[in-house]
Amino acid sequence: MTYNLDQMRDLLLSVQKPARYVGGEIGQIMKDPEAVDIRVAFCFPDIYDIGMSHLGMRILYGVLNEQEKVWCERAFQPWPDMEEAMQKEGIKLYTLESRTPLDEFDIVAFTLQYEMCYPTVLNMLKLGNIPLYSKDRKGLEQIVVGGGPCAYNPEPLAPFFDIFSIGEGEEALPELTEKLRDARDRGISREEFLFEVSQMEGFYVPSLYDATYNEDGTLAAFTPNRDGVPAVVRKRIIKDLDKVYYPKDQIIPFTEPVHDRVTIELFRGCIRGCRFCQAGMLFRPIRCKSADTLVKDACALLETTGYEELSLCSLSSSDYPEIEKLVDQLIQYTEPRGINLSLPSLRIDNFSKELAEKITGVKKSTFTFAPEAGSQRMRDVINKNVTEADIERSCRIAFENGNSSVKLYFMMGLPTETDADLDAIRSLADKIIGYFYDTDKEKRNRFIKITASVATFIPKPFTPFQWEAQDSREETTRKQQYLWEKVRSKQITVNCHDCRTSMIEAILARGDRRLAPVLEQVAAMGGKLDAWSEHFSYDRWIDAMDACGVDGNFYSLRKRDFDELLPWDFIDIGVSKDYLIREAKRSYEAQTTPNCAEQCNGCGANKMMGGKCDV
Amino acid sequence: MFKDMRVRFCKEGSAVYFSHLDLNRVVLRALRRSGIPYWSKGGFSPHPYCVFAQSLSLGFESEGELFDFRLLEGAELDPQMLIDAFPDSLKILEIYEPQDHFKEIAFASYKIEIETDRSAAEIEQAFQTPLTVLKKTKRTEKEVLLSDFIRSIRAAEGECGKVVLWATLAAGNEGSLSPNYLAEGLNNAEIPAKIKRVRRLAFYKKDGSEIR
Repeated sequence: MTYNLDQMRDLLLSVQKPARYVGGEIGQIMKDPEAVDIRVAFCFPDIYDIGMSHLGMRILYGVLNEQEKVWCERAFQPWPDMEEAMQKEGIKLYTLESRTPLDEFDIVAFTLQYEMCYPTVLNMLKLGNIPLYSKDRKGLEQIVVGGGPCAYNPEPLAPFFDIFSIGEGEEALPELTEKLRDARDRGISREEFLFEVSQMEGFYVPSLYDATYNEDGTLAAFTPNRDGVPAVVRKRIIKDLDKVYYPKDQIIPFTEPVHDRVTIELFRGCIRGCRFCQAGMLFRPIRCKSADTLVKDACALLETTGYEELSLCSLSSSDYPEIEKLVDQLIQYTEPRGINLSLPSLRIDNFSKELAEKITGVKKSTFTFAPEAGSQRMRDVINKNVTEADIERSCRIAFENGNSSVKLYFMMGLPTETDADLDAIRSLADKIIGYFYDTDKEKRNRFIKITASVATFIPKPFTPFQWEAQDSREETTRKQQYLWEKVRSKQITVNCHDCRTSMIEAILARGDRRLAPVLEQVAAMGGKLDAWSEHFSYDRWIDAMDACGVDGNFYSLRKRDFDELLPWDFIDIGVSKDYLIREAKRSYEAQTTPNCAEQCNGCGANKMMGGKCDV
Repeated sequence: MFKDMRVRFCKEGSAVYFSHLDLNRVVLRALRRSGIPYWSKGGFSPHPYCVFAQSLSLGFESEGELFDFRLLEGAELDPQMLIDAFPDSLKILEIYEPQDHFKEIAFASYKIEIETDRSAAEIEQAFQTPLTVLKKTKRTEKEVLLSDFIRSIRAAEGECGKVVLWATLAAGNEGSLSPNYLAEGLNNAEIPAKIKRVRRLAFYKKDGSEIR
C-alpha cells in the first residue's frame, strides 16, 4: 500500500511546511518496487529539516541504493502538528519516496546520533505500526537495525532492536542486505537469521546476550546465551577512504534544511585525544582521504547540485595533513564561481595566518574556538593541548582579518574542576578583549563581541572519563549561576545549556538494559523530539524513572572503579581499556599526552589497520 | 550582454506543498545545476538572474507559471539541460524569447474545484449577482465587489458532486483577486462553498491576449 498525495491534500495543507512530508525532491532515488527484493526504510529520529543535513544518512542512502535490488527510502519524525493530523486520519508513518508505511519494509534502519533521540525512535516505530519489542516481530521483515555513534552503547535500546551495526556502515549495510536475501532464499527463520548476523563482523544482536547484575546494581556478567555467538563485537571501519563510495549527487530539499550545502569529509578519527571526547576515540584509527579525491568529490557534487556553499567536515579540519594544498585547489574552483568555502572545526593551535586569509577572502564569518576550559590546568586535565599563547596568536590573526565576533565553547563540570577554573573563563575572555584593542585600529573592527557557550560535561562511554561522575543538578545550577554573575559583561555574553537535558543525556549515555522500560514509558507519555527544548520535559523523564523504579543518579552521578564491568565493554572499538585507564590516571595529575602525529601513544586502534595509522 | 529567456513550467504533485520563497530557491538551484550559460548579476555571491511572473499560493497547482532568466550573449541554450535539472513536479513546458513584460499581466485564469450543495447553474447564476467580500491587504481591509475583479467565470458539474469554476480574475498592478475570495463571496450570500483545489492555467494582458 502507498499513500496518495491527492488523498492527503487537505491534511498536508493543514500543517506547517508540508514540503517536508511529500518527497519528490531533485536527487531522490525512485525504483520500481517490483524490480527490487529488499526494501529499506532509513529513519532519522528527528524532523526532516535536521535529518536532511546529515552527511552519514546521505552516504548510506547512496550506498544502499547503489545496489540494484535494494531500494532505500527516507523517513523522519513528523512535527507534532503533522503527527496529530496523521493519527486522526489513520495514516501510518511512511517513507518519502514511495509513501509506503514503515511496517511494510524489510529493514527499518535508524541512525542514532544523539541519546536524546531514543524516545523519538520508539515513537517512529509506533507511528509506523511496528511492534516495539524485537521479540514481538516475526518473519524476515521489519528487521529493526540501529547504527551511528549511540550504537556504541546500545544497551538502553537493546530489547527494541534486532540488530545494531557497530562502526562505519558503508560496507556493513550492503552485507546485511545480502545476508537477508540469502536467508530468505534458504527459508530460514528470523531467529536463525539473527544468529547468523551475530557472527558477521560489526553486528551486535542484543537478544543473543544476557546481562546479570550484582546486588549493588553494577553489571555482574554480560554473556552470549547461545553457542557460537561471539563474546566481543568489534566495530567495522573503512580501511581506504579513497576507495569507499562517496555520493556523487545528493537530495536537494525543497525547503531550506539546517545545512544547505555540499559537504566533503576530510578524514575519520582524530589525532588529538581530548579526554572528554567520544568521537575522538570511537572513530580511530585516523584515516585520511587524499586531497585529490576530495577535490574530485567536491567538484562533482557542486556541479550536480548547484550549491553555493562547500563545507569541509572532520573532527579537526586544520589537522588534515594536506590542508593548505586542499584549500588552494578548492579555492581555484570555488572563487570564480562565487561559492562560499567554509572550514569548521579549526584548532587554535595550528591554524595559520595564510589559511585564515584564504578563507576570509571568500566570506567573513564569526570566529569560533573551543578552548573547552578557562584555565590551563583544566585544559591539561582534559588534554585539550591548547595554550594561552595559541589562543592569543589565533585571536590576533582573526582580529587583524577584521573579525570582531568571537564565539568560545566551554565545558563545565569537568573532573577536578573548582571555581577557580570557572573564574579563568572570565580572565580568558578579558585577555581576548585585550588582544582586540591591541590590534591596529586600521585593521580591526570597531566593536568586539564575545559569546561564551558553556555546556555541561557529560561523561561518555569509551572515553578516559567514562568512569567519572557528573556534577549533580544542584551543583551544576550553582556553577551556572556563579559563572553568569562572574563572566557576563557588556562585551561578553554567556549562554549556558539547560542542564536538565544534560542530566538525562548522561543517564542514557552510560545506561544499560534496565533503562529500556523507562524509554518505553517516556514514549508512552508522549515523549519525542527531546532534543527540542519545547518538547523536552524533565519531569516526564523523572516520572518515568520513578514509575519504573530506576534511579537515574546510579548512571550519571556515580563514579565507577576501573575494574567495574561496564555495559559497553563487550564492544571493541580498537582503542583499549588499558589506554583509557592510563589516560584517566594522567588526567588526575593534569598531565597531557602528545597528539598522534607527534608520537604514538599505543591506544590500540592501529591494530584495525594492521598496525599503521594515517598520520 | 545577455538575452532574456522565458520558461513556462507547471507546479504540481509535491511542488504544490512548498511556498514561493522555496520555489525561488529551487529554481535558482536548478539553473545553477543545469550547467547552462546563464547570466548573473555581479556581487559578492553572484546568482543567476531570475524573475517570476507572479507568486502562487502554497497549495495551488499551475500549468502556466513563468520565470525569466538571462542567457549569456551569444551562448547557445540546450533546452534539455534545463529540463533535466528540474524535478518532475516542476516540469518545464516551454522555453522561448519573451515579447511581453511581466508588468503587462492583467489577468490570470484558473480552474477551481469547489465543494457545495448547489448545482453548477446555481453557482454561475450567483456570480451574476453583486457579491461582496472583505478584501485584506497588509495594511487595510476593504469591502469590494467581486464582479470588479472577475473578467469571466463559468461553472460546470465536476466529479464527486463538486462544481468546477473556470475563472479569469484580475491579477495585475491595477488590482488582483485570489481565487479564495470566490468562495468567501458565495458564503457571504449564504451559499455554502469550500475551495478544494485551484489550478492556475495562464496569464493574460489587458487586451485579453495571452502573455508571451
